[in-house]
Amino acid sequence: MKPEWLSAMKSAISEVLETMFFIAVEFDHTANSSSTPCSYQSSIDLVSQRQGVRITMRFTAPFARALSSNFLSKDERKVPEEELQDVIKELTNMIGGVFKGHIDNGSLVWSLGIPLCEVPSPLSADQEAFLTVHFNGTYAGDAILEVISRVDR
Amino acid sequence: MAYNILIVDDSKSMRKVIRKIIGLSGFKVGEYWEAENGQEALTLLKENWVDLILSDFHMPVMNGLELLRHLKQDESLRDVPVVFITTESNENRLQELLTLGARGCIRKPFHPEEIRAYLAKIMGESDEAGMAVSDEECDF
Repeated sequence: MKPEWLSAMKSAISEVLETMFFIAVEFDHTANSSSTPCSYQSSIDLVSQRQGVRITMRFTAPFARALSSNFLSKDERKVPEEELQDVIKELTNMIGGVFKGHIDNGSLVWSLGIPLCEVPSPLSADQEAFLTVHFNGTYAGDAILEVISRVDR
Repeated sequence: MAYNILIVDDSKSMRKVIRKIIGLSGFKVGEYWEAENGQEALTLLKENWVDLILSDFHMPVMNGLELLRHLKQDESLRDVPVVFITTESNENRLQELLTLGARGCIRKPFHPEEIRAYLAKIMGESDEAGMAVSDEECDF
């Protein structure tokens, strides 16, 4: 995992959240020690000629509701569950796109997949890189970056 | 003049946001049409006339590039302006869209002003013309 990719992830998440969700977050690399579980998860794959990378975004329910409220300019209590999940998927889609723009260097051609909603899963020990996301000093979720395939040449 | 607009994106929430931005920006809209992918858009276009298509690039079933190719092959649709609102950032792919005849690309994430400015430029309207505020409600 290239160190600059973690930096690119932070940059991508911040740009998307600030531009379209009007939310600024902070990051660290410590595992979540709060009691708030993540209730929403979405992932998207990026594939090049040499490897594949998966970005997974996981969020707590309060943060997901705040995101959807800001995105849709709607009272968070009035956002149906299906719509909330769609917002999380689209957020992941945009983060994937901006991240791809950061890591595109001409030598590898990256393709962006279609984002998927998933049942939230706990962090596993072999996940190579993750960021813990905080909003207003409260745990909001995680961003996980993992290599999913590698072509040996 | 009020324009009919087709919004093509597999994200329902993104379609809502785009629609809201257009409505609040004062752009005169007659009818909005929405499609989840290029195939749905083509089906819709068989029955309905639109003045502008705003399309995503990455979509299941039929992506934005394929949609654009189909539009350009259809004599009745080839002159409808198509603007892409997309996460795609690869310069070669974006250039391919422009070469095929797309009128422009707006990169996601975007500021609302980008859509307004782009549409005003493409549809030939200006702030001095005094666009009327649409009746689009704030409540989704």
